[in-house]
Amino acid sequence: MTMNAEITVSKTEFAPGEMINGNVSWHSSEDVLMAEVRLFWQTRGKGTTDVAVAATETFANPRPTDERAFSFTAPPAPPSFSGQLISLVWGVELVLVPGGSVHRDIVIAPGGREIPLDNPEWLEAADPSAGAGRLRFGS
Amino acid sequence: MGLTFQRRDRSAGQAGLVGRLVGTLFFGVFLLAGLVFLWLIGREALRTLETYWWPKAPAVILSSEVVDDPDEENPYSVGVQYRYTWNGSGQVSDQLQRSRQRFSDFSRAAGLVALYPAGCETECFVNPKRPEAVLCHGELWIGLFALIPAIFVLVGAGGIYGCWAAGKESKAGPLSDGNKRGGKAHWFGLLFVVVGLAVLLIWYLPAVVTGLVSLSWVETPCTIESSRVVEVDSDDGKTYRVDILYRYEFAGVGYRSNRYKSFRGSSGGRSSKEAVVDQYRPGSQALCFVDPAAPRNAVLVRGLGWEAAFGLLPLAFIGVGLGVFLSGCSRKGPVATLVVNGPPDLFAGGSRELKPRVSPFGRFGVLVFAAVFWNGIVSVFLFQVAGEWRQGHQPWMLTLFLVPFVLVGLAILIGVIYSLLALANPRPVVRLTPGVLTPGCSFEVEWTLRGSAGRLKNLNVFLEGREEATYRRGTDTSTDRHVFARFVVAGVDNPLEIAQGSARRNLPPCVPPGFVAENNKILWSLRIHGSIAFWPDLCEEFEVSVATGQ
Repeated sequence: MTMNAEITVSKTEFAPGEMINGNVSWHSSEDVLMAEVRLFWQTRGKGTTDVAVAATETFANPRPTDERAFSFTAPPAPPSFSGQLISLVWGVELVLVPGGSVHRDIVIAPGGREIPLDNPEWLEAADPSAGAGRLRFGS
Repeated sequence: MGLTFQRRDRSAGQAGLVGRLVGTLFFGVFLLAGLVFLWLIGREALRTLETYWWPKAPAVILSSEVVDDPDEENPYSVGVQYRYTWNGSGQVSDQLQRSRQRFSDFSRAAGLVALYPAGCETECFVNPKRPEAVLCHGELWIGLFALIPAIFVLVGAGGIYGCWAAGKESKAGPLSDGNKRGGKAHWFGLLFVVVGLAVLLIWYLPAVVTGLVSLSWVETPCTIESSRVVEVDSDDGKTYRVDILYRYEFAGVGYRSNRYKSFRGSSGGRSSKEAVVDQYRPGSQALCFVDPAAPRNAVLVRGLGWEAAFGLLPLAFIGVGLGVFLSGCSRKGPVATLVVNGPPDLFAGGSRELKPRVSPFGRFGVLVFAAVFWNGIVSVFLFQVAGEWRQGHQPWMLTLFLVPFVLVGLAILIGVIYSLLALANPRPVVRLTPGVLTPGCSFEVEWTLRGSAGRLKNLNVFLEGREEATYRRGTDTSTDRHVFARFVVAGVDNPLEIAQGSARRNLPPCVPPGFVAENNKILWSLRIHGSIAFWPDLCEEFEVSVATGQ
């Protein structure tokens, strides 16, 4: 089967509580039984991926070729962040059955800015436990 | 601003179907093999169970002997003939149990023969539906072996279900790429523990006990009756064991045994077994060692021998299994939890007392358990090796093999001593206000040291944020940690301030909140560190909740 799908979002960076408005359109060579837009987050990086769906909007009576609008409220948490081991990424996903899915990354964080975890100002002192696990003879 | 992208999906459906069919075929083999063996073992267990409901009848043993069939892997069985009366007519049967039992150990067959000597009057159990009788019921515990094919059935059925259930999830696109698969994999760790314990308790420990006790058994002359190498078919091809039947007299009574040493079982390498057999030619005289408390038990070679080192394998099974299981249990559910506005009870009081992540007593207890368990097993081999060195032998291979295990045991013992000393350290009681921290807002830490706070030279209090990522590499599960934030809350060296004090500071506005998902975490904690001269330092970590910014 052949599927073309498109997600249009008003912008890519949102503060918690902001409206996420957009449109989805698709063209499928087969009848579409279910069409749904999901707001989700997933982790990326070294750890095994964790995912969760925050909100879902299901479209009634989807046609093989169609266009719909959607709207979500950006949840307060978790915020998008990026660290040495883990990144948390929000996304909007269009799911068509049969057909598959497409998605688009967005940022949801205070001020609409992803939180970087590699801020050198946050490391104020040497690791206090550097000597943990060893006997220290005086200091 | 408009963002567009496209995706063309031509063959996902076909590839998915082929993958599911291949997976179904693969797991189907597991399921089928499991069901066949489950049926075979279950049927045998039911046949044995059935005899418990058969009525009793008087019987007289006509003949009874150990039958030796050299062509069999387990050559010894009980040949018995008895007469019984049922419904007024005399019948003869040669069935001891419903299923013929074969033994590799002569003494087990001989033990059964001794229970039913010729001429003895006893009772048998008669099948009321057809002319069939047994002298004894048989061993029901063999039915426990049904657990092994049952695991195959579970793996097969679960795998097939997973193949098709995973197909349904694929509708969710990237959300289905999460790690829902394998989320219950830690239960396989429990399987390792059970298998390891079973091998340890059923095969290994009895053999070790026999090996050690046999050192005090009585040296007795014996005559070799037969001597051969038995081939055993196994998954890895043929293995071999020696089967030397010998007779001896103890306290005026004659016995026979084929036990060579405490460890039974077969292994590769026919030539080494043939060399042993050559030492014990039929008709020759030799020495065996007899248990004076149960003279039917005897061995030709006493002590443990190099096979004792195999006991470390089940130990490794148990260790790996426990590690996998406990690490799996300690992980949270698949849905992330995080503090958004803070639970009401945490804010209600304005402050809260923090709990340490690991209590010093808990750490000590775990280390003591590990030390007793590990060193208890390793000491058995040490005892054996030391004994051999004392006797003038030079067991270099076993000695070198044991070195890393002994070093690990010593490291655990050092850990026990360290954590024991640390129990005498003062205990910090820490109160945080507010109970949940908010980025951009200030907070206050109050501490009180219970115990001998005067021993501390200084005290440092830090707020620390770290990332934790758990991932699987092959069959191992690893967790990487990285500290991304460390804020100094207090640093004091005045004895009065060390014993009791407080400090206030601001949490920067852009720090991330705490975040706990199944495999990925952002954790915040308060760390207390105090230096003590000539003693383990005070080092404690307390869980802290950080909410999302305003």
